[in-house]
This record gives sequence, structure tokens and C-alpha cells, in this order.
Amino acid sequence: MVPHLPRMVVAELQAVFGRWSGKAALVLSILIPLAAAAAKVGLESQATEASFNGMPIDQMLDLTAVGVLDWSLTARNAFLLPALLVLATAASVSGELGDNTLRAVLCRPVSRVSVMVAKLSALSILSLASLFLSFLPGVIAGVSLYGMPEDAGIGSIALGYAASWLSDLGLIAMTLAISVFLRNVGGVVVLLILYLMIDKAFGLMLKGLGVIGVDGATTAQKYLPGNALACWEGWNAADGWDPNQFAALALLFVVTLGVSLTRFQRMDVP
Amino acid sequence: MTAPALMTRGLTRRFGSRTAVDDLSIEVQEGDTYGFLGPNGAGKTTAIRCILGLIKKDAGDVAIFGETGLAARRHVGAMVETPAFHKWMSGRANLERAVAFAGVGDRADIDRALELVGLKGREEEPVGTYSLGMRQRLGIARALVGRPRLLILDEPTNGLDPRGMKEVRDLLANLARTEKLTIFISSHLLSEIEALCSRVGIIEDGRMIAEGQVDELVAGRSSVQEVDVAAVDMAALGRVIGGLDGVSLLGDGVEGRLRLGLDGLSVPGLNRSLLDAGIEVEALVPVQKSLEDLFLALTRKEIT
Repeated sequence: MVPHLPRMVVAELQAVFGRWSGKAALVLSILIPLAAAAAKVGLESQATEASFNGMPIDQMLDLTAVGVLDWSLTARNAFLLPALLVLATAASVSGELGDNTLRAVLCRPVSRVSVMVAKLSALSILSLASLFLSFLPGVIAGVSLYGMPEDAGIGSIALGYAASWLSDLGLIAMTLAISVFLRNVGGVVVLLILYLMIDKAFGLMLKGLGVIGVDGATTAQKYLPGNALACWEGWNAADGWDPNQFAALALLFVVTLGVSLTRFQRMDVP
Repeated sequence: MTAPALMTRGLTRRFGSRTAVDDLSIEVQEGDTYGFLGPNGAGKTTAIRCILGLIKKDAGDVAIFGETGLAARRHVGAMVETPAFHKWMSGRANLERAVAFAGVGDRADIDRALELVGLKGREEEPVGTYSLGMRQRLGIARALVGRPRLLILDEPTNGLDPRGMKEVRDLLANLARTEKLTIFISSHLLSEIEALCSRVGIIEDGRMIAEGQVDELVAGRSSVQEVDVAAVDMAALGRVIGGLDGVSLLGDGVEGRLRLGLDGLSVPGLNRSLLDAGIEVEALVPVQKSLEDLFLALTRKEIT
């Protein structure tokens, strides 16, 4: 690896945070926990007297700091932030291949592996910053509204945020693997969405096969990329963390990064 | 003896069944300003991309100051076709990015490059606001950061108006003179190459068909010097020419003159012979051969 890799990462960070996808990711990261807290307050004021199936709705709402963080993390990981991370990743590789800005970089005495590592590092820092900017306002808003929880709830959900970072890394690696084959950001997004839809359908099929007792179907389902990317949900799952999901995520990361590096080293950049 | 600034041996690149660069050998000595010429589609840009490692070569070797691979690229600054930038970033930020990836150069280096290309004072503006000429000059500045010894430029005046072309040409001439840079420049503008370059290589269909000093190549194609001659009595001139040794009639010259080829006879010698034969000479104009004549003679394709 080249000794000036840290400088390359800083330069790449300037590009990643300079694009609208990077800026939007950071702004939304801050807004999501505030919106989650506002939603709790809003629903709390209207629902204290109501009940559902005999349970008061304010209990169902989980009006605690952990409840605010839970909603915030779920909203963050549901669509917007993953979509922005995909856009940021695609812009970083496909976008630069398409507008020829990568050409000037590759004329330089720097290995393509280093360039890819710099891009991956910058994108993982964007994800980390997004999680931090989401977690901190969530804690402040939640604790301000509902006080510090007496149990270890905040620690548990902090692990959920940490697992989200791993999930983001998997998503970034997947997007990189597609990006090195295309010179068009839109194409990367469409292909990734298509893949995730197929993955979902395939997952449901395997789950069904598992229910009717087909050997290995349930295990295979756990190793699908879509399931691996949902590893963060383990923080409050009834069965707790699923090691299979993390193993699948590691496998996804290694395979897709391997594909990216191999292709990037061999490809023509005209 | 020092290694050549750039040397390719047997460089070959195929796209499917088409051979874009075919067994290409180039030698550029340190201090040369080398013009790389060829008709459209001759393989110039493909060859440059192979030299820079942007695309893979199928065969052959590339050495820059005797080094190969990544080590070779430490000596090179390049601009391939129209330079691309992150348009929302300032000119300076784009150069800082180049420095960060190159691993060489600092703020002073960037300032110097901006000064050289005449963009000092405009460097904090977003590149999106730059004119095409300014972007072209910023592209050259980006190639200059890190103080390369060899500058490789592919069509550096592409898309520029005449003033912009002159600015870039003057800039390159200045760089070659003051910075002692070796410059490898590809262009289809023959006048530009003739004005800038000491040596040229001409390729067609991916193969080198002529390489050498511009004046030697232009003069060395034939031992025959051409002159255009006009006389008061053109009919008498035509009759006399047939009897002169070392003189052949090549055809019509410009402005109704006759074009003659002199082989072993000087222009004053021809003048003397014509006067001795009673011909009143009105004009005797040596024909200056140009790089364009050479290019047209060597290549079959139309210049664009």
C-alpha cells in the first residue's frame, strides 16, 4: 500500500462529502432522530387515553430514549440512508469513470488497489459519520424527553448502530462491485435495486422451502446478501444476534470487494 | 548514456480483430519536443493510453527514463484529450486532489503550476465557471504538479479558438524552454506541431511510418529540389528546359509558373543556364516543403 494513502483518503473524503449525496446523507442523519423524537411527542399527546387490544398505546409507543433511537435507526436503515450511500458509492466510481475524472488519477504513480481502498475508506467514513450524527441527536433528544433509561437499553441499541455500520460496509462493497462494470450512476442504482428485489423474492422462496422441511433452505436463506445486510436488526430481535448473518456479511464483503479489486485492476480506463 | 525519456518497443493493442496499435516503437530523447502525428483513427490516443497504463497493452514494452510500470509514472505528467475535473471544486482543490493521489508536490508546487499556466488569481473559483481554454490550461497545470520530467499531452488544443490555441502553444514552448521539460504532444494540427516540435513520429493504422527530426524528414525525402520558374516567354522556357542537364519538368507551379526539379543543379546555376540560353527570367522561387507535404505524401487518409 502506498505511504500517502491517508492523503488520498482525505482527498477522496472531500469529493464524497462535496457531492450532494454526501451532504444529504449527513443532513438526513441529523434530521431522522429529531423527526423520530417529534413523532413520539406528537403521538404521545394524542394517544395517552387510547388503547389497542387492551394495551395503552403510550406503552406500545415505547416512550423512552431507547424508543426514540429505535425508531431513528429503523427509519435510517429502511431506505433513505442506504439509497444515499449507494448513490455516493456509485458517483465515486461509476460517476468518475463516466465523466473521465478518474483518468487523471490513474495517470499518476498510484496503484489501482490503493485508489479503490481510498474510495472504500472515504465511503465507510461517510457511513460512520452518518451513524454518529444520527445516534448523538437521538440520545440527546430521547434522554431530554424521557430521561436516561435505567437498564442497559442504550448500550444495546448502540450495538445496533455499530452493526448498521457493518451492514453499510456490505452495501458499499456490493455497490462498488457493480460500479466497476458500469459508467453510469443511474445504471448502478437500477441494477442494485433489481438485485435486492430478486434477493427478497429468493429469500421468501427459501423460507417457504424451509417451512416445508427442505434441507438447507433455511441456512441458505440466512446467507443471502439481503439477509446479511439486515444483521443490525439483531439488537432487539427475539432470538438475539444471529452469527450466521454476520458470517454472511463477511462473506459478502470479501467476495464483492474481491470482484471490485480484480475488475478495477484489469479494466481499461480510456 | 542516459535512458530515453520515453521508449516503446513493439507496443501492440488489439480491440477484437482490429489492431489499433501495431508493433509501435517510439524513442523520445530527454529535452525533445516530440510531435506524434497521424490521421484520425491512426491509433495515437490508444498508444498514449497504453503508455500511461490507462489501458492494457497486448504486447510490447514501455519505459520512461528507463523505468517501467508505476515507477515510470513518477516522471510523467499527462493530459489525455479534454481534461475532466470535479466541477464543483475550485481549480486549486482539483490540483490538491491530483497532488494527494500523486503523492508528490505541495502547495508551493501548485502555486508554481498555476503561475506557469496563467491561472493565478482564478484558482479559488469553481471549475464549472471556467472557459474551455481555462480548463485546458488547468489540465496542463494538473499535469505539471509533482514536477514531472516528461509531459504527455494528447490533443491539448482540441476545441479551442485560435487565440486559445496560440496561448496553449506559447505556454508549451515556454515550458520546454524554461522548465527543460521533455514534451510528447499528439495533434492533428500540423502547423502546430511544426511550430513546436523538434522531432516527430507519424503513425498510420497503428504503425510508425516515419520518425525523425522535422527538418531532416521534410528535406530528406528526396534529393530533388523543386523551384517554380516564370519567364517573359513561357513557350521558350519550356523548350529550353528539355535540353538542360539536371533539370526536369514536374508540372505546373503556382501563378502559371512551371515547377522544375533540380537534381545536382543549384538555383543560381539554373538561373545562369536560363540566362545563357536567352531566357528572360521573371521569377525563380524555391518551393519550401512543409510537414504537411510530408504528411500527405506518407499517409493515405485525409487530414482532419
